[in-house]
Amino acid sequence: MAPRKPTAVPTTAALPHSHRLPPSSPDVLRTLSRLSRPTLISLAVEWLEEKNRDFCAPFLADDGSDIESRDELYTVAHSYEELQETYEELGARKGGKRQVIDRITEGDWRHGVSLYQLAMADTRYLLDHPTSLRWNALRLARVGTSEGASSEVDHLPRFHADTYLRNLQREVAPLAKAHYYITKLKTMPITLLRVQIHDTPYNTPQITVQHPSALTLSQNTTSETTTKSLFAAFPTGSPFIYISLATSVGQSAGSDSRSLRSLIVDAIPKALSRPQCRYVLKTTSLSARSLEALLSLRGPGRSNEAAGGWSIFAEHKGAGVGVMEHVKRPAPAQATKQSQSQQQGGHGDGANAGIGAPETRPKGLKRARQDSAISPGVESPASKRRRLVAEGRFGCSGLPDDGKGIERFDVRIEDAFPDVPEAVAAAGKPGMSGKKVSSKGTKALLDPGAASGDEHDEAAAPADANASNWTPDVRFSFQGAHVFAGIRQLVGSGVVDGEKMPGWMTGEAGVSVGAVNEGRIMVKEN
Amino acid sequence: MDETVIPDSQHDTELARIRSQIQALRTRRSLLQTTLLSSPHTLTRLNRAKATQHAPPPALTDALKTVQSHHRLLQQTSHRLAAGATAFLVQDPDPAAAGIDSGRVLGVRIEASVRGRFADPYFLLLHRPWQGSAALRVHKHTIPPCVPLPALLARWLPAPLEKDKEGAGKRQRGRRQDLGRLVREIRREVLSLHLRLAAVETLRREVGLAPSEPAAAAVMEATEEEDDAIDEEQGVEQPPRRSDAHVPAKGGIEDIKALDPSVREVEITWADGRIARMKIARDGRIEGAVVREHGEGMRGRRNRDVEKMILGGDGRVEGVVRRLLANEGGGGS
Repeated sequence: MAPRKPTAVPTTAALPHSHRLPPSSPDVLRTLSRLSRPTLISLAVEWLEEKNRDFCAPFLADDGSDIESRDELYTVAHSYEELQETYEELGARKGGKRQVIDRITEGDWRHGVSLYQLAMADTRYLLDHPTSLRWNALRLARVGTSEGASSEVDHLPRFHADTYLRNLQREVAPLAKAHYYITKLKTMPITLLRVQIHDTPYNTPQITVQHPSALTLSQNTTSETTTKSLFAAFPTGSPFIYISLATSVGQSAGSDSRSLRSLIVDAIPKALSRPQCRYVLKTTSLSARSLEALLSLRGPGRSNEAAGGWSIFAEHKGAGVGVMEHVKRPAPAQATKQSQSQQQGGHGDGANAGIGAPETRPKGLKRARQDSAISPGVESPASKRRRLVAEGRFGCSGLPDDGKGIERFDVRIEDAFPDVPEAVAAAGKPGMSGKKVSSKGTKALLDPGAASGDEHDEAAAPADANASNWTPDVRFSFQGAHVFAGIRQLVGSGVVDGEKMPGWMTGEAGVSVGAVNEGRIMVKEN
Repeated sequence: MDETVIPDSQHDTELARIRSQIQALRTRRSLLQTTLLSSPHTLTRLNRAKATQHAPPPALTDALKTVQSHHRLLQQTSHRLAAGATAFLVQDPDPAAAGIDSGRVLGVRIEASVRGRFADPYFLLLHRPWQGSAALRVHKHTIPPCVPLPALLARWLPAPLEKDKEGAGKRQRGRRQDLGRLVREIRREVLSLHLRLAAVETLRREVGLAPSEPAAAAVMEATEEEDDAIDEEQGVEQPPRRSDAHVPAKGGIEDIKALDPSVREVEITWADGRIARMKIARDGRIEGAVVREHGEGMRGRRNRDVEKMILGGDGRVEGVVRRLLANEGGGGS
């Protein structure tokens, strides 16, 4: 038995980077087995780089030679360079990733994988799979400042990684044992913070925080605790923070873990606050998987407040041609006129459309499919027009491969229902929740009236529809890999009428959850 | 574009030559086209031709249309050249916007030109959501968050007081909206941002560093991708990534970079481990500087001499490198 330094002192310090977990612990195995083979190898090489050696020391045969004779499966290396070569050779060969994991856990890091290494591995996984987590975009807002000269000077919180970590640690320390890892991403203007909560001192009686040089954490403490990690991304130069949502794969979301999570989330703005300058986190109604999408909607650039069709202004390059086109574009103007007349003519038109819709919809669908089937190569004038309309409504957004997809978009309609006889209101089938925009548009959204008739999920009982301001509880949920690209496609194929389509369907509000009031999603000021 | 079927070098070179020729001719054509369209005589002649014929051929009307649209574009361009901010009208494509001032949106284009080059313009799109009131509100905009837009809006574009609040809000008069002033303030912010950006680039050039921002980022990305590809194929070639950093420039300065997109903090790194961080005011003044040693034995100690050099002179960010180099050459370290 290795001599263990009995430093079981209750301490509020953060878990040190070099604190090792036994290779057999589920955390280590789960983290490593998620990575692909090339990533594992490059990660191991990175661990062996000079700057990381303090925290990622491998098992080297420098003092005793007896270890070598005992274990022949993986010969103990003598130097970092030797190991680096070994891994590079391993990368050149073919093989499974199991081989590499075994080599790491049973060979070169048999004495334990440090928390720093785990954090690096987890971050690597995130970079390899940018959509593996769901992020919630939050805004940092100042508390109790009058809008004016004081906030003009520095309205953005100053973020310095070291200071910030120290403050955060001070906030969290009394309540949870955590490991912090902060890194700057190369590919995106984001500083990524990973907090791994290991324990609360109130859960387990003994917590052994050991000297960095000590070997492994005692088995019993790790086996009963499952760790939770939380990512927070700080885009540089913007008042937003993205926090990963708890419901990621493989993480149990018990009440305990939730409270630990909320603890960290609460601490994040507090750690950024200074005297006379306190911050709170406010929701921005946006959550998405892709960091690219978040960066474009809640990022440091110009596109935050110009989503959907307005993206032509954000992506504007050079000459003012795009703007001129925007002004002259005939289709939306026409659409505006139509809807204007509809509004001025009272709700009668809407009612007619509502009645007509259920019969005409399948026909319309078929027609749309037919003319796309007739001319696969050549664009018919109608489809060209639809494509142009889609271009006008969506601008440079909603392209299927721009990587800025929102995969879930929930809307609640708060507008009063247009006057419709009861028969039509009852015709809508309840229980058809959600609308997949994956490949085939299954339901037509010919106009808002038909849409709400067809797709209401949780409509309140239409007991007395005599009142003109009857407002059913209508909610839409759009789901798919890239919701707005899907809607754009539907507009292009004629399933959705691009001219009558409400603006929130283009994503111009830049939210993933919203309430539609008077045909628009109301975004809070500032 | 198309695949060359015969791997014949002669054919390849000929193809390449023809392609470049086509490219050159295209450029020339568009240049001639623009010149022809821009000429004031073209429009007058076409107009005269139209006036003389009582049934103008379609080619003539088409040509006239093209020339007229080109002249509109020219006019717009010259306005943009002369004025820092120009206005235009946009139609909100959202059918629901019809209720709001019939979907009319006022666009303001804010230009920033630094060193004879125009940056992408910034846009402010305003509408009039309050019925019976000419008060404007920002609908959409493309101003980056480092510009304190909320504060400026609160100052120069306050919302009018709501009248239906049982008369309570009527007591105090709301401040007047001043769009001109707002645009001027925003333009000042935007322009100073671009000037600071340009200043950092100048500093980099002065010490002989490669231009930073987008180019460097692109290079970074490229090497990352390359590395991944190599990892998959062979996994051997690691050194190239390391070698691109650490090119010592003048005065032992290794890197100068802005730490945030708003260029309010700039960092200078020396090859010997010294790090200077400067806080830049909006107008390019250096508000403060901290220089710390990172050599052996003096970890974290402040170097007041260098701090004085940075803050000395006219105290502006543009002259930092000149001051540092001058003192380094004169007095030594």
